[in-house]
Amino acid sequence: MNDGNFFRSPKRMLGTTNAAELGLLYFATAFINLLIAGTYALLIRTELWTPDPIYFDTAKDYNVAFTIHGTGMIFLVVVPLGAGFGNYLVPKMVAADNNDMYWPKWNNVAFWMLPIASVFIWFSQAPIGWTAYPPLSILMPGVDMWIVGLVFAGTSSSIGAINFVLTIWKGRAPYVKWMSMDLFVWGTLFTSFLVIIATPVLTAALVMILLDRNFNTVFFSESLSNPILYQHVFWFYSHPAVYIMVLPAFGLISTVIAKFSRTQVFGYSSMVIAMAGIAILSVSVWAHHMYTTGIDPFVRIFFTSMTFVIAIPSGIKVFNWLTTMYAGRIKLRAPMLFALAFIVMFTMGGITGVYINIIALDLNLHDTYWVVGHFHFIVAAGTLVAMFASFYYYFPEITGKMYDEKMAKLHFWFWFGGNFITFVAFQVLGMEGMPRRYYTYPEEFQLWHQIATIGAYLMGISIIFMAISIHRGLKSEKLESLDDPFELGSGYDYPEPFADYIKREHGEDLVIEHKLSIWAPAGAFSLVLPFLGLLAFTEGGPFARGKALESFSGSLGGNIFIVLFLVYLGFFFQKESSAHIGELNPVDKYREGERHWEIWVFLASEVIFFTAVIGVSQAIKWNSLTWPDTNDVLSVPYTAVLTFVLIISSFTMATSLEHVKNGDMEKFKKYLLFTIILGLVFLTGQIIEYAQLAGEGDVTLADNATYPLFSSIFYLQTGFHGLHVLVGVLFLGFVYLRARKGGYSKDNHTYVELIGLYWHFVDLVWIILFTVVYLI
Amino acid sequence: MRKNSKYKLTLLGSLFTLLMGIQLVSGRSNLSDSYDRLFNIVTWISIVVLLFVSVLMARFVLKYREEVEGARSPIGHTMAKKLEAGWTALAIFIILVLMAVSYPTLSDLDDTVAAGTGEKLIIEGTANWEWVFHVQNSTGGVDVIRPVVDSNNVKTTTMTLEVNKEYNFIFWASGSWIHSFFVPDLNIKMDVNPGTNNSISLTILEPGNYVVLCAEFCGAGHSQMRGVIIVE
Amino acid sequence: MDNSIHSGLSDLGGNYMSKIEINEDTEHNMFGIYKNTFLALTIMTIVEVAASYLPDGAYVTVILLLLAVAKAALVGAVFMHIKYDKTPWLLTLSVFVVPLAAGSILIFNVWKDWRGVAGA
Ligand code: HEM
Ligand SMILES: [Cu+2]
Ligand SMILES: [Cu+2]
Repeated sequence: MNDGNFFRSPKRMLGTTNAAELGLLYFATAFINLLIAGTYALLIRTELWTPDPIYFDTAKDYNVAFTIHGTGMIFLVVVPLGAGFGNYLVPKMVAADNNDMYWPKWNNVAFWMLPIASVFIWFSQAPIGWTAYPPLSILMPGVDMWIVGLVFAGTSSSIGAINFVLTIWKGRAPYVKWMSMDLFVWGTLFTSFLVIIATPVLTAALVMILLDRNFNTVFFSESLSNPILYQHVFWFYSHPAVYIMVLPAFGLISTVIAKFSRTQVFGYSSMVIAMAGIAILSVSVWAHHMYTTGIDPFVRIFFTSMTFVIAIPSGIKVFNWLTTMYAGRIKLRAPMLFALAFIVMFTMGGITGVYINIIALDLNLHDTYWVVGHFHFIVAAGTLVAMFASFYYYFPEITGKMYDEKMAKLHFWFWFGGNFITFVAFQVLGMEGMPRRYYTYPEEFQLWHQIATIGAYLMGISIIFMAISIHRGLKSEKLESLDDPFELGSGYDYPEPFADYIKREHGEDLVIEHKLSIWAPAGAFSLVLPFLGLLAFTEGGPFARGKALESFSGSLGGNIFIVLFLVYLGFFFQKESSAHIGELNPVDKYREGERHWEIWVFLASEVIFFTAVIGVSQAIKWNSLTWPDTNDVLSVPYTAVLTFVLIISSFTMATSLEHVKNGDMEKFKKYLLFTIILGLVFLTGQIIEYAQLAGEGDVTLADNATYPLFSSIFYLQTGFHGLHVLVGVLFLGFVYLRARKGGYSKDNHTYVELIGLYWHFVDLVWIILFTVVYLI
Repeated sequence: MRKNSKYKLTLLGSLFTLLMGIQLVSGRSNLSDSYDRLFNIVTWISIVVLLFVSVLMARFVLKYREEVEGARSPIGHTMAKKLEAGWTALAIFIILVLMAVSYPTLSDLDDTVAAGTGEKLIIEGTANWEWVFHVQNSTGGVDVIRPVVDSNNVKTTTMTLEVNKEYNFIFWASGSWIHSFFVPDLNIKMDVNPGTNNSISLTILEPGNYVVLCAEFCGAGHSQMRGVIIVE
Repeated sequence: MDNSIHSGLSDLGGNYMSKIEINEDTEHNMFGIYKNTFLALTIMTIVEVAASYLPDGAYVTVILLLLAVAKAALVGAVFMHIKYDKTPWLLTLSVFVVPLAAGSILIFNVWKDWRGVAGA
């Protein structure tokens, strides 16, 4: 399918909106990132050959290395690989009506956020561990940049996830039935749900760290609040994150095993139910990472029980994979070898996981190499191995050529052997009591450390074989036919493409172009500007720790970035608001679009974001003995007026939409303008309120605030809401511009509906906030 | 070549099961017995599960690889349904067994760990990555024991405790780092949190030297903050 | 005042889907509904502000929370058209209830596992 020129044309690489091509870009990015993160791994293992310094001169350099290694492998390698396979496979597997993802342009944006995230994370040099626990992460350098990188990565996967859900839900061809989809589609669907539910919470946690570092808030202060709060919020995201990584791998591996055994997947429905069960349960097991924190006994027993329960579906899946091979005719090509390794390694990972869920054992094993071994079995020897298996399996389809089997087998044996040696050594070290994240260690651990290092080098070497295998494959002759490159008796068998179906049924030629969009990547890159602006406000240059407040107006760099961003935004609005007016998507008429899931899915993630932000604030409040009476420190009548303003704006928005539905364009534009003006009034009102509060000195983020904790949660909640209003006003402005150019009509006003729903939602949030922040 | 590869797989599988049996000498506190018992039970269950999975896999690979001629009789529809249910039941059963063996130790743990009884002993983790022990001496006062620093900048704090005596360890972070008090040979670890103090009650049953490590990543000096508890 | 609005709403909600294609005066009705909703929201806000000046107590808090939920529900049902959706419950469940439930697990545990006492 790939004509070979794609990687030679920067313009196409930048602007492509074709999911299959974006899939390739994901693979390429993930591979580069794998090399970088892998190099860090080898440096770490080299350092640990003896207790004395070998490569890293200081402990701090070493700490940077494992932070970058861990963050990189998780967010820049394994998660993107899942997205890459999703892009490449899902539109085909569901015979998507446009032969692409639901939102091709956003898909491009989601991808380009990833290289941006990578650059931020690689260069951040934060020495905090991928878990970034405060107070450490509040006091160390480099963390601001690291957080910005993670927010980009998180946003990228959130956009991707919404896109996957829509593609599977709405873009799926009517003749592709739920229970006949490839299991990978199910895996991607559940992963996407988890991303949508969990990522906003991570964003909240990271932003709170950022605020604590730079804006004098005290969310995780040990004297006023509670640093352990962060651990809950963080793991609420990060435990689901491990399943976000592994669910697509489950799907991929099912296919590979069935194909190379020449059988059908055994227990299809129990596989789907198991994945659903894992997805649902995975948001209530996070505190198994916190057994040694002196956790509340009730919380502890709840989480140990839930964690046991979630192991059940994983077990069922292993048994089903085994049974899939029964009575097959197994062909041991490289993909199958990797798949077999996956089963064994995943089982080991599961077993070692059970140990640390038993609290009496975890009190010994927590934060030792046992845990490191456990998750490497599951992620490096499990998930990544599943990705290798599928990569080789789909290689002929992607390139039209066959990879080099001998080198691929060498890759397999070195990787598998290296995994085994290293991670078993990790488990033994853990049993002996070797803590993780150690720059130097007591001498008696040296033997097993050296064994682990040898295994790590085997893994490093295996990647060279992989590169050779790919290289030789690309040099080789094109295959004559891609129907069945592995001679398995069946090929990739995707459902019939939608366009063919339409041709047959309706006799119409659906011409689907994958347009280039330069504005989509440009949009993604432009988002770097405000973040660089933010970073520039931190003391001591862009990337160090500091108190932004003091230098707020003084940072020249920051202001330049922000002005640049605003200029860009104006330009962008001007351009985009007149683009493609009146053009219709050829597949639109075949879509039964009775409901705008695209915005509702997004709103679901907003609901959990605000639940986290408001809920955490409330939990802080319930646990404090002294709390100011809001009537004394805030002006309720003033904000009541602001509330009123927002309520009117919801009314005008609804009216405006009703007018466009009726085709009354003048009134539509008039009421839209009212809405924008009311939004601006609200924002201005809030700024005036902030300024007044800062003047009074009770509710402020200055050092001498009377109520620092109250102020922190006050600005967190109202600030995030204000930001949403701002974004809403910007989008409304865009829609207004487009409306003036005649972009909407009685039959074509989807975007007005979308922005309307968003706007009402922001109003709804304010209604809740007004009560919990100001009134109670 | 093919023939070899699957033997390698089985071989590696059994190797790991052997390694899982490795157990270091440990267990010299009131917690150790239940720890050892539990660890052994779980290890045996794990060995059985792992052997089951790897043997089944190796068997299928041997028996059903394409080189082996002969008819295959796939699982029939009703049998498949039963098997699916059977696998589910098996997975549930394994987990129920694990729950059954692990829950009783939870209350043991609470009885000993959270009791709050015994002679007070303050374990301080400092901002400077060192353990400081506040131990009651015979005259009723408190000795504050600070670390000795060696040439590699390893900081070792040494205190002497009595055998068979119950101590109430109180963990206090005097700086802004979270540490974790970890004594591998006593199978115990507890976080040292800034802001709030955890505590455990522990009786050490055998004389000897016990190494103290920090298990929660706390920054630059994390791997160098060590301690020794001499029990006599 | 609530009663009249509510009966008006449910009256229209039931037949909205069928009406919108054929019935001309739906248009008129929708604007009326929005206006009534807006009025209800305004009145409830005034009640809220007044209630917040009552001496603190559990019952005031409960009233305030109920009012907030009622207002939010009104915005969701009318302005966001959930009420007029084909399957309002599916929408409410998947977009609001599930994320709220997941978030509540977090909040409950954060509260339950709080260490020490927070400041102000
Ligand atoms: C299915 C895929 C799984 C993945 C991807 C996974 C991944 C991880 C990761 C990354 C960690 C380390 C977090 C850290 O401390 O930095 C971890 C820890 C843990 N895992 Fe898993 N795990 C999986 C399955 C399981 C299973 C089946 C269990 C138990 C039945 C389990 C129980 C645990 C526990 C209790 C910890 C906390 C250990 C500690 O910090 O003391 N995991 N897991
Ligand atoms: Cu977890
Ligand atoms: Cu430490």
